[in-house]
Amino acid sequence: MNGLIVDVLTMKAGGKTIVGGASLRADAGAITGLVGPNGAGKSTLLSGLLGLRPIVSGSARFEGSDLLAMPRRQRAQICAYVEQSASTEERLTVADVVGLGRIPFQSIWQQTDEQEAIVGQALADVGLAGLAPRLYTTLSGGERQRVQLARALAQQPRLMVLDEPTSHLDIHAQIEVLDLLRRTAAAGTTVVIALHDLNLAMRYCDRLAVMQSGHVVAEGMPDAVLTPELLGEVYGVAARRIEDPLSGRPVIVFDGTVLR
Amino acid sequence: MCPRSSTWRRNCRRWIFRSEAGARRFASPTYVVIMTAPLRLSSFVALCVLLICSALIAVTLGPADISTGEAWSIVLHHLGLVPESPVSRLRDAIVWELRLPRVMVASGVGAGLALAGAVMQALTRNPLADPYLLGLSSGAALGAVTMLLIGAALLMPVGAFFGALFALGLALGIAQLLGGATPSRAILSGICISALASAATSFLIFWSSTGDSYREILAWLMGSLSGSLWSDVALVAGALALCSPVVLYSARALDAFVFGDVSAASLGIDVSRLRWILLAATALLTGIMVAIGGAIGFVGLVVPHAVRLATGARHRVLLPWSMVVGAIVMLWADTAARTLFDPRELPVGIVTALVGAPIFFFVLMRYRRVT
Repeated sequence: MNGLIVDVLTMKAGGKTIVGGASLRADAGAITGLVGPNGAGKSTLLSGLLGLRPIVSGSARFEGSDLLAMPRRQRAQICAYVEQSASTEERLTVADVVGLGRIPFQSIWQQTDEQEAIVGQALADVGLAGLAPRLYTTLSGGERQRVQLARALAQQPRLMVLDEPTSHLDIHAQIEVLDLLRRTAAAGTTVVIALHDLNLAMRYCDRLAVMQSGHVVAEGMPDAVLTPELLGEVYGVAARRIEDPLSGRPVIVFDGTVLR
Repeated sequence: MCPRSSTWRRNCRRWIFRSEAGARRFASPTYVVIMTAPLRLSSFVALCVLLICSALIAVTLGPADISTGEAWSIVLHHLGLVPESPVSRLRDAIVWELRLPRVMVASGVGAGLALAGAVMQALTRNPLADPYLLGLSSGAALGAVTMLLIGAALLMPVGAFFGALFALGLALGIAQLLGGATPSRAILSGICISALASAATSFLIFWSSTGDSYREILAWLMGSLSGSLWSDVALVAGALALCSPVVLYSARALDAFVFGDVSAASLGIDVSRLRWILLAATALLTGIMVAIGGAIGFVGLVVPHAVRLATGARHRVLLPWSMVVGAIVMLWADTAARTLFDPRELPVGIVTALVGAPIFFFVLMRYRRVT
């Protein structure tokens, strides 16, 4: 069985239900987008399905095995997680940061040539091979996020979960990140990504799930899911879909009316 | 500057960095000092040699007029390497019973505090963290002062140890009550416990101490290693032997904390279990160091930062380096404390603060340039 299946996952924080029985499917070799307004529970759901935050009930199965019952280390050898933005003040080089992705595979002291080769390959994959000896703290936001992607790639994951990785980035860096994910997915990895930009979601995701108040309220092909009616209901804004005259692709435009 | 010296310096740089590009990279503030692995290893060995040499020199220094050769022959004699010692029993005792244990305790305490500081900084992701962060030093002070004032001066280390652990336990307990011992909660409740314990200590001193005990308390509060015995050496060595393997074993996992708890968990680390294990190890380590030397400041804060400048922040390198550098720093600070104002002795905490604060400033300047 391929891909990720999340079944009625329920999560609480501070006595309040954040995710109330959310179900989700993500196919191998495809990008599955998770969209929805702030506070809908996207981040909580993504960290919950990787066992990073406690869950109340439900299950998350990946390629037939139970992600939540798996030992942490084993899970980290299969799944990689990228946060919205990862900051540090530590004096680490880019190569050091990417090397963190090898932690689940290492015993304590060893650092083999093989590990270094994987780190180098991951950096080359994100197009930052030349930056390996730079200090992470001196990088731009876009470069940092690509380094985090390289760190995730160094885990050689079969499932990659990303929590709004493009939110702080300019459009150039956003497209770079999403292109990279597309290539990763094309290599057979299951990619699940929370996004805010609906047009980018429509353009880059193979499937979309829409979350509202802790539930997945719609799931399917981006084209079919992101209708003006749904956007009005979920986001409370007036939206229209028009066709790009050149490519013929649908584009969502907002006329600035808030519905509630 | 004469041309020869600049050629020499260029050759040195070439030797160290293997290439001109490496040397340029060193000069550029956006690049970290990349020590090649062989260079890192050889400088670590050099530091260890420096530590041993420092100890050998430090035992020859002191108020009593004992020559270098005499001091070393006494040590060699006790190690069974020289059959008979020609010096008097008094001189023998000064070197073997006073100076050597003190030198060893100083190195051990320095190593322990620097290690504990590095771990605390990593666990709390707080560059200002030191081994005493969670109320350990104030708790220890309260315990020690209580023992002194009830007339049990010999039990001061015991009081300090349990005071420290009690304060830590209380701080973590409060943090847990607030909904989980996260770094920020632990720090905040540690501050709270620190303030309470300090107030209680001040009250006790104010209420009941006389001139003599006041000076003793003050020396203890500022940190002092005077009167260290072989039993203290055993205690310090035992604490290091027990705690440092646990901490060094977790070096790789500590790296994973650099982007926070969730990120560490996603790399397969059992975050809360590791945090409790390491907190327990550093608390035990710090508790014993505080019990023996009082709250010696700055070593645990500054040494890890200074080492990071040279080695970067990976703990596999940082932790052992911090231990050796901490040992050397403390050894010389204590030697200065007992010899500079001969025959009077300074509390070593004054020396570490006097030296540590400017170094800390320098470290901050370096950080500002690169971040």
